Order: sequence, then C-alpha cells, then structure tokens
Amino acid sequence: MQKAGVVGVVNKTLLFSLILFNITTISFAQLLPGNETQVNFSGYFDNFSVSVLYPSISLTKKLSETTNITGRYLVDMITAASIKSHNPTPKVDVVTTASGRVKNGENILPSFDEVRHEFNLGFAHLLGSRILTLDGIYSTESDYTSATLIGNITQYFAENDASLQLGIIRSWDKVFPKTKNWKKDKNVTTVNANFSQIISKRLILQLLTTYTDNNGLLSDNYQLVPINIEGKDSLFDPIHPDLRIRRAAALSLKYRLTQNSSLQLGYRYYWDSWDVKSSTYSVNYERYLSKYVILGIGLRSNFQSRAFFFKPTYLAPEEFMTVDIKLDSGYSNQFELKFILNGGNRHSFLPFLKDERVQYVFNLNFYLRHTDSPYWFNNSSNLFATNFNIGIRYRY
Amino acid sequence: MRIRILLLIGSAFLLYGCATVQPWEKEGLADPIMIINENPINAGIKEHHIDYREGAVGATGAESGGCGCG
Repeated sequence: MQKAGVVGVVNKTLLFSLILFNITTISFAQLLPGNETQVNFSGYFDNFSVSVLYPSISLTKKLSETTNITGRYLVDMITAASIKSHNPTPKVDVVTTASGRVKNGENILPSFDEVRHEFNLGFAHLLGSRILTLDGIYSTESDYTSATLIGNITQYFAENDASLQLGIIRSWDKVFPKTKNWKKDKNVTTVNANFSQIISKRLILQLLTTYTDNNGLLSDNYQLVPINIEGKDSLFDPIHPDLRIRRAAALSLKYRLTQNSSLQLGYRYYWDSWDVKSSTYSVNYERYLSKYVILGIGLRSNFQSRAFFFKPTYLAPEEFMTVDIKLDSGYSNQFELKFILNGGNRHSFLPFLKDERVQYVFNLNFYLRHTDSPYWFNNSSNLFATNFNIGIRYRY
Repeated sequence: MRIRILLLIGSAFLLYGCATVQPWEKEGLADPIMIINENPINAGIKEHHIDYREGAVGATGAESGGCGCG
C-alpha cells in the first residue's frame, strides 16, 4: 500500500516534469514567429506639401520548428515634396528629385515623382534557448541606394522570464543627388543591446540601448544654405561634420491594469556628438472593447536641443553650415489611435470577420513639430502631419 | 545624469524581478495587449516618418533602410 503510494508520487512527479518540459519546449518554439502574411497600406501627409504613400507586403514562412524565413517588399511613393511649395519662385531654392516645378506651364526643373523600393530578406533560427537572426535590406531610388545587414542574437534565461538581445547593423549607402555630378558614401554601424524582464505577473520591463557611428556624407545636399554677400543672395552646399556618434537609451514598462486593459510608459534619452540631445516620453493604453476588438490610444512627446552648427541664417560661409530644420531645437507631439479587429467571430454578419486567422489593423497618428526657427521655404515653425496605416495579418 | 537615472531605475526593477514568475502565472502576459512591440512591421512604419523629421533616432526597437526623404 505504501509502495503504491510512493509509485504514485513518483509518477505524479514524472508527469509534472514532463508537463513542465513540454511547456518549456512549446514556449521556446513559440518564440519564433509562425507562418504569416501581412499587407499594409500606409500614408503620410503634411502641411509642408509632402505626401507619401507606402504599400508593403511581408511573408514569414516556418521551414521547421526551429527555422523561419521572412521576405518583405515596400514601396515609398512620394507624390509631392516640400519644394512644391505655394511660392513658385522661392527666395531660396532647394531642388529635390521628387519636385516638379512648373512655371508658365513648363517644367523648369526635372519633374520626378520619387519612388523608393525596399527589399528585405530575413532568416531566424532557434538554437536551444537562443534565437539567431540575420536580415538583409536593400533600398533603391533615383538618387540613393542603401544596403543593410542586421545580425541579432537573443538569449532567453531565468525560465524565459528574461531575455538579452545583442545586435549589429551595418549600412552601406550611396548618395548621388540629381542636381550634382558626384556620388558619395555614407556608412552607418549600429550596435544594440536590449534587455527584457518579466517583473511580476502584471509587469514587463524593457531596456533598449543603441550606439551608432555615422560617417561619410551626412548632409542633405538638396537643401542649400543662403548667404547674403554684398547685397546678393548666394547659395552654398550644406557642410556637416562627416562623423556623427549617436547614442540612445530607452526604458519601457508595460503594466496590466485589468483583465481587459494595459498601460505602457516609455522614456528615451538621446545624445550625439553634434550636441543634439532629446528626451522622449510616451504613454500608450490598450483595451479590449470586446473579445474581438482592441482599442489603443497613445501620446508621444519629444523635446530636442539644437546641433552646434545649426543657425537660422549665416552671414558668411563657415566650416559647418546647415538649414536642415530637424537639427534645430524644438518639440513634437504625436497622438496615436489604433484599432485591431480580430477575426473568429462566427456570429458576425461580415464574412471577412469570421476567420480567426485574420487580423485587421488600423492606425491613425496626428503629429505636430514645432521648431524654434521657421522653415526657410514657407516661413512656418509648425509642421502638422497625419500618418495612417491599414493592415491585414493572416496567420496560419 | 539622465542616463544614470535611467539605468538606476532599470537596475532596481531587475533586482525586484529576480523572483521568478511561475509558468502558470504568465497567462496574462502572453495576451497581445501585454506584448511590447507586438507588431514590429507596424512599429517600423510608425517610426519611419519620425526618424526623418527629428534629430534623434534609435532605441525604439524598430529599424528601416533607405533615405526616406519623404
């Protein structure tokens, strides 16, 4: 009788161990994304006359329990650019290939609508409790090409409660503006170290850090610097330092408020060798409106200081010069709205909501950027932009 | 100074988190609304236009290529 009891205990222990082993095995396998097709259609519009549409398609295919590959194709279609300002003869001119300037019914400059193609091929492999990923991105447009390699290793430990990700990103870019007869290089190397930890059954923490070395041509050579010399405006090419070291660290906390809602708080600090410093605060709230509908709202605020060589106006040519407004001091705010519709509602009168493998994502962002100096071509310090995304995810 | 405060807060949470959360307690954490960056492609789309309108980039968990001059 006693023996049978011991055997019973041993069997229960064995059974419990097997269940735990299974949970562990299953959960490690689940760390790798499964088969998925995602189609997105996004757009960006602002009051500086810039409109961008960018559809994309992404496919993830699981080759085995431990390996998957991902392919992605994205197109940026810039249907207008800032040069298409309301002033046909701007005092200071900047020419972009995305700009067609028309005067008296004739194109006085080449009229191109910029199209950028981006191809991404990725490979992920699960090796015990770690994931290795390798991605390649190639982006091409009429005046710029970029080839990027990304390698990441993610190690899970403490019974999957924590993960450490180390990554390296290397980009080789070529810049060849349509208005110039040269081709220059820009090289970017980024090192990432990210840490995630489950703190409690309601709280997750994430710490992200990056260090980036940018070198080569770091200016936008479509933006010309006006300098008044002896009563006459002359235009000069911008001159940026050819090295920029950029660092950023961010902390995010995700907290489960109730069974149906969560709150995410984030803070990022950024500083670089051009004296640009910024603090970014974010708060996001997500809530199930029903079993199939998730509502998300978010706020993001960024406060930035000015690059050491940025000036609203230059009186004489200097060693470094720029009119690039994103290097000016200022702040920005973004309001984010998100709806996720999960399929699987068999009682829905809409047939496309019945399939549980399908998810529909809608994002709408309103963005305001204020800079301490007005932008040269429209004399405005405030940029208002809308950014939307409509996406379909199909997981199988 | 700010980076030190950031690391200090992060370390404090990490020490607090040394107590392992048991597998059966993680059910709520697997919910999509509890996953940070649940849809990386969407996050990349959101970050892409900000990267080219502000002087600060990085530590967002999203990466993209090209000049994105729009």
